[in-house]
Amino acid sequence: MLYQERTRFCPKTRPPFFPAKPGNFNPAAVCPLGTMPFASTMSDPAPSNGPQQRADWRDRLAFLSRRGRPSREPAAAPEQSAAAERRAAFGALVRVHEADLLRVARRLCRNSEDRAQDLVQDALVRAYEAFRAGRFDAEAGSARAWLVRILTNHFINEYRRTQKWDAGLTVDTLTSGGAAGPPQTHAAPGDVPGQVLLSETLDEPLEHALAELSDRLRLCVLLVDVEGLEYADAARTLGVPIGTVRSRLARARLQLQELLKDYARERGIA
Amino acid sequence: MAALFHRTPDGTPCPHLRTLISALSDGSLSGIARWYATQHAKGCPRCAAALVALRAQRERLRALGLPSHDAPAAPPAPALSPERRAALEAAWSRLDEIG
Repeated sequence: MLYQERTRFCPKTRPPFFPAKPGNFNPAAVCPLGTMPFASTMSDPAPSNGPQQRADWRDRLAFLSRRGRPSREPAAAPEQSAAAERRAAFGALVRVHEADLLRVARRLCRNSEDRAQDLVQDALVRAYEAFRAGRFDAEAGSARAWLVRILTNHFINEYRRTQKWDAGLTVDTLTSGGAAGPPQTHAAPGDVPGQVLLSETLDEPLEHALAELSDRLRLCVLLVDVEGLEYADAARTLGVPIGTVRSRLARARLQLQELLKDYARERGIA
Repeated sequence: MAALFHRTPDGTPCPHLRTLISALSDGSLSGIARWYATQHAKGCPRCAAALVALRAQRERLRALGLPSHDAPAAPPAPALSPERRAALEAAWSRLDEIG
């Protein structure tokens, strides 16, 4: 509302009829004398001229109710910039740890490259969901441990159900005894999938031995011994107590020793 | 008594100390358990040999987790394939749109 309109009042009355607050200004009100519209001047059309005039004074009223400041539309730019920053931060995190995640995924999937890439791709989508929800606490632990935990959880939840074992094994038939179990329940070294990749690694006997362990024991060894997670992190990832991680690790390490001895004996090394 | 527990070293620890010796090999033991396992290993050739073997094996496992400095003939891809990277970016964009 223009200042001139605000100060207009019936020339025959006193300022008591001047509106103290813009919100309660009613230009259609009639002054006590009932002789002229409150808001009208000689130059302005009367309020009864039509909807256009009423729309105008309502706009001016709304303007004043915002304390004379221009209206502020909801800024889309700040939200978009926050989302872009978050995306850039997560992308930087992924670039640093992508190679590590792929390495862990290859061992989890018994060196199958396709499965490992799928696993990492799915895990990074879940990680981004958690990152957007604010579930990544940089002070609680390293980003690498957090990502490895998500990757392992995803593997445990999804890939154990759908994984096809080229050696003809299933999760149900494989015993936790590993090499100590019945011969028909563990794969011979020649049956391990992804053998081409194994032959290109530096420690082929150890990779073979790792692949022959059962899922539970191999996960413990991968998380604690290979990837260097703390016992507490590994226990949280696997959803078991720390004591269980400790006992599984003890069993797994001794089985690895036996498997390595068998591997060396078969090849006539020792 | 010693004959019951201290046998010829074959790389495996005494059965009743298997978990403790394994935990001692990676330094995760502390307190009285660490003292007991350490004292036992000093007097038991079998557990001492197992401790050495477990530590060496742990170093080999740690080396698996480190980036290889010797370039193999066909090194595994260190990153996701371009198709999977594009699908990943698209999934992240969908999550941003959903809000």
